[in-house]
Amino acid sequence: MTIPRKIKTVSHILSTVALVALILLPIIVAVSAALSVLPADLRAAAGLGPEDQPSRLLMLAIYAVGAAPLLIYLFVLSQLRALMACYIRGDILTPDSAGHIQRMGKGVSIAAIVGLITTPLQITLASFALPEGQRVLSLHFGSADLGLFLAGGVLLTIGWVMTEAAIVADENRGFV
Amino acid sequence: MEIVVRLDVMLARRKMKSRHLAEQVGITEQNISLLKSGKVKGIRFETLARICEALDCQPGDLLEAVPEGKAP
Repeated sequence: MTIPRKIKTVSHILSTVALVALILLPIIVAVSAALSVLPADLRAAAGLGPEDQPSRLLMLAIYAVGAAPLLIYLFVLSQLRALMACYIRGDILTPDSAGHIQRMGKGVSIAAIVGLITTPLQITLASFALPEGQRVLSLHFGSADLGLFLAGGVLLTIGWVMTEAAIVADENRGFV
Repeated sequence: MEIVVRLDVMLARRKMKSRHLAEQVGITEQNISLLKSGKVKGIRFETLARICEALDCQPGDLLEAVPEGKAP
């Protein structure tokens, strides 16, 4: 099937960006964990001062908890790359490409839900660097979380719709 | 009933090659081949009209309804 050049061009760009993210994200997280660097937003949310530093064990626990959403995001990025590979080949309305969109949607939705659990857990763990009585348990659901959940739901729904479109396209391909 | 495509018969009668017909109709030679062997799900009216024009025939010369299992 001949597809517009803009689809191939943008697919190439997105595939490359996803590849860079797939490589850099784990490296950045690994280096941060090795250097015991606590992200600024976590530090602020836990109420830590510049001199407050969680123990090595706490830092490992914080990064271990953060690994769950990271792994999900890496899965979503890998599905994005696979989807772009389909588009670059010209397979735009196929069960394969529809499946990748569905899996991306599931991944983003799950990442949104997991984030609601892991972020408060990380903040609480980080706050253990503070004396008893100053530790925090924070629960947060903001517009970013809602946006992520909606994006995941929309992607999943579009994936289901694209599966139906792939059936119609296959039917059309059988006509001369 | 199933529909059998008699395109190979018409091509032989008109002494026309599949490639020539494909060029006149505006579809690929591969699709002509699939049509001849009946391995298509359907044919668009536009394509059928162009084939009839190219072969100077009627749709009934190209398509035949036969009982299930009786197709050659």
